[in-house]
Amino acid sequence: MNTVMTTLDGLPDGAVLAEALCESSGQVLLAAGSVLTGPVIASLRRRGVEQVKVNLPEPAADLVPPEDPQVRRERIERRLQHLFRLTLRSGQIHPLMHMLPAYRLGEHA
Amino acid sequence: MIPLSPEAVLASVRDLPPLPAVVMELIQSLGNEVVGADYLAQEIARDPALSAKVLRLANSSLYGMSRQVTSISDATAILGLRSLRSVATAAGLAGSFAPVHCTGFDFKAFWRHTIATALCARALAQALRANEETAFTLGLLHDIGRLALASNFPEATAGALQYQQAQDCHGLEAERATLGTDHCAVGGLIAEHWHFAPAIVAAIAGHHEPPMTGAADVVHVADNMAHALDLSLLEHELVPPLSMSAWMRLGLDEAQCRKIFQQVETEHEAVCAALFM
Repeated sequence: MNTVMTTLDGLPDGAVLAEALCESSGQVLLAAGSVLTGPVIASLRRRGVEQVKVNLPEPAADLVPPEDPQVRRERIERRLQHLFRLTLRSGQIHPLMHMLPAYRLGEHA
Repeated sequence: MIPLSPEAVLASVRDLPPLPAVVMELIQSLGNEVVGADYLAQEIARDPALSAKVLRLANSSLYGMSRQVTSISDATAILGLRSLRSVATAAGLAGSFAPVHCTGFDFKAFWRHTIATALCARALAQALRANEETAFTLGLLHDIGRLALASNFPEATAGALQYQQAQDCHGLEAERATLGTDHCAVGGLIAEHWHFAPAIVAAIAGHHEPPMTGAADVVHVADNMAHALDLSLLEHELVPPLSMSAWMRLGLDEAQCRKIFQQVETEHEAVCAALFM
C-alpha cells in the first residue's frame, strides 16, 4: 500500500491513517487504519497535529477505460460459440444458444 | 482401451464410502418430510465438519440473513426445515468426497458444475412450482457417477478424458467409447445401491437422455444451463446436446430463463465459497 505525508488542510474525508499517531509521551492518539472523518480531523487540529501519513487510494474503477463495446461483443460471442460448438457442428436447435447472447450483452427482447 | 466389466463397476459402487447417515436419511425421505426439524438439528450438530459447512451456507448471501446464524438450532429456526434439509444435503455431499487423483479430472471444476446444476434445478423448480428441494438434491447428485468413475477407475477414466479432449466430443460419448459404460448408468447404480426412490434413480440415470418424467427433465435442462452459464471455469467447457422434448415439456419462456440465469449467477460464488472454503 502506498502512503503519503500530508497536512490536515485539504485532507479528503474518509482518508485512512497509514501509521499510528502518537503523542510525545508515546501514548497512541489514533491507531493505524483509523478513518479520518471531519470530526476526527477537527479533533487532531485541536491537539496541534499538523501532518499525518495516509494511505493513497487505489485507482478508481472508473479510471480504467471500459472495454470497447464491439470488442466486448466479439469476445462474448466467441466464447458462446466455443461453449455451443457441439450444437453448431450438429446443426441442432438449442434455445439457450439463442437466449444467452442477449443476456450476456444486456439486451432484452 | 479395455472396457470396464459390469462386475467391476458394481463392486466399485458397493465399495463407495457411505454418506453421513443423516444425509442418507434426508435423500431417502425426499418428498415426505419424515425427518423432523429437531432430529435433523440434533444429527447435524453431532458432526462438526457437517455443522461447520451448514453454518457457513446458512450465513452465505444465498439466504440473505440479517444476523449471524451461530448454532444449528438457530439455522433450523431461521431457514425452516425445507431449506435446512437442502443445506445439510449439500454440506454432507461436499464433505464426503476427498479430492480425486485422476489425470485430467478437475475436482474443483466438478463441484463448481455440480453446485451450478443444483442451483439451476432449484430455480427451474421454483419457476415451474415444482418441489425445489428434490430438484436441488438431484442437481447435487446428477454427476455422482463421474466422481465414482474417476475415484475407482482413475486410469481408465483418464483414458476417457483424453479421448474426449482429442475428439472434442461430449463426455458421455467418450465414456461409452472407452469404458463401455457411462457416468449416467453408474450414477443410477449408485442411487439404487443407496436405496433412493425410483424417480430419483431414473432422474440421475437419465439426466442426459431424459425419459418422460418431470424430475429428469428438470435435471437435464438444469445441467445444460449450468454448462451454458460457464460456471465451472473450464477453458474447454462444452454444452451437451439438449433434448427438445424435455425442453418443450417444461414450457419455459425467455423471461423465466433470464431470471434463472441472474439468480444462479448471483448465488453460485457464495455457495461454492461456503462449501469449499
